[in-house]
Amino acid sequence: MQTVKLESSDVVVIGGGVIGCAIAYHLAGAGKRVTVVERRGVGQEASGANVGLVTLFSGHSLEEPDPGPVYELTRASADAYATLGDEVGVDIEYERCGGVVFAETEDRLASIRRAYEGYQRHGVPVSWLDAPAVRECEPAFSSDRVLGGVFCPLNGQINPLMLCRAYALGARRRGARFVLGVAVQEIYHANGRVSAVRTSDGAIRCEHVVNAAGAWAAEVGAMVGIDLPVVPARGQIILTEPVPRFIRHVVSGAEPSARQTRRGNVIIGSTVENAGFDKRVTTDTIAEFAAGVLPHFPRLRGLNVIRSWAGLRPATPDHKPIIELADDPEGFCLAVGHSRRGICYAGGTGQLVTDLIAGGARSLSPEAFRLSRFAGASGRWNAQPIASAPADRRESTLMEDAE
Amino acid sequence: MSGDDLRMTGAAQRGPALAIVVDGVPVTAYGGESIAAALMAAGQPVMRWTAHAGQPRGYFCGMGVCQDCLVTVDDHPNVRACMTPVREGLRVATQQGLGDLGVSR
Repeated sequence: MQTVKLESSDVVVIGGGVIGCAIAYHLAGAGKRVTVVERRGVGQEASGANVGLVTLFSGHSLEEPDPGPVYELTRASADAYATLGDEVGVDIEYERCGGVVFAETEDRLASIRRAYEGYQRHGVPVSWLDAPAVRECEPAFSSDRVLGGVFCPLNGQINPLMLCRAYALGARRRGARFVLGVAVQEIYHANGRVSAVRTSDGAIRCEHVVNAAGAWAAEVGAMVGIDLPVVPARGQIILTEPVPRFIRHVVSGAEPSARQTRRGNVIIGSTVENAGFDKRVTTDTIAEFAAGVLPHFPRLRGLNVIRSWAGLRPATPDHKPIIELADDPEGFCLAVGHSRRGICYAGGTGQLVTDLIAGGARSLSPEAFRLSRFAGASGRWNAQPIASAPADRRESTLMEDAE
Repeated sequence: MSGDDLRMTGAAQRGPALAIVVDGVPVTAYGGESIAAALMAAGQPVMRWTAHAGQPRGYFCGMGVCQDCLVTVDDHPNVRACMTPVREGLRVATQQGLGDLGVSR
């Protein structure tokens, strides 16, 4: 082992995105000495390239009509955000403004209805809206084809960059150390247990290592021989000039989705594309966004687009995260694959990882997020690579409910 | 050019003098200048006041990216002063917050 330049730590978190920062905040709160190692800066990748929705009832609910682990993870995050701003003294612009999930086809309406009934049984506040009620609920939204939907008062929006900042600042105040601009090169593991992380700035001895490396999670997993089905999925986003608030609620189900930030800019996105690690914005996507968003939000007509950017989401085959303390090597924790809902899952992930590592009372169940759910006959995960961009881009790349 | 004028003198060649109106006051600018250049030369570095904190903003990146030098031009808010050339009769207003016209324009 090379010279240990950096102080030892209980836990080294690899990745300073919203997931790594939330984990550091919660672990430090549980009394752990934490070092976050981040190759660039806090929140520089997918954490800053998303629309910023925190939705309890949304597209994911249609796949999980009886609220289960995904709901609980989101709920834990949303509840954490409700108090985080005051805890740290940073305005994360979290508004539980409520949101509409609407349908323009009978099939989708039936799926929404099924989830609505499941959520109601579970005691989640949701109300059923007929077509006029959807339009009345959010006057900025327009659709001739809307058939109905659900209003969930818990759905909301947040400033994802300020969320990262709040977690990072809060973690630092609790004693966590951030090593920025430093890359992880190797994870020392001998006798089935992690012992240190070697970085471009020296090695850090530790008991636990958390892989929170986002789209680069597979690279970090490979350092300890764990094969992770996490691939980069490009998400492009555009932002308009700021205008006085006219979108009051979160609207889910429109492609692309649009939300108005606290400053008044409208953020429109996003794609889910297999472009490898290419983060470029493409002009045809910007045109597609504009054409797609105007029928649903006609008041956007005439607004200037002032920014466009893209980020790489850590996609898993089922779009759900992998959160688990590995058996081999011991001490290696996975907090990866948050796909396009990292902002919805960060707070809950921070709590769950802390429960796993610090052994606290478990408020969240990790069972649904185990890596082994991808295991095929070979014993390895059996992930389908995400499809390369096919001819019909509208269908495949503008994935609904990208949060 | 008045004694307060911040423009270069000497070798600089500029277009014809143009009359623009800044917050209701006539100001002389020259063809080929940006609104930002004309405002800076006229000693008015504050181009807008922010919507929430009410802080002054002005010419920062000078290349159309930072969105700090937004002014209201002929009643259209959010015009980048650094990227917009002056023309005869142009009415520039220091922008207050998001401007007056809102979404539909």
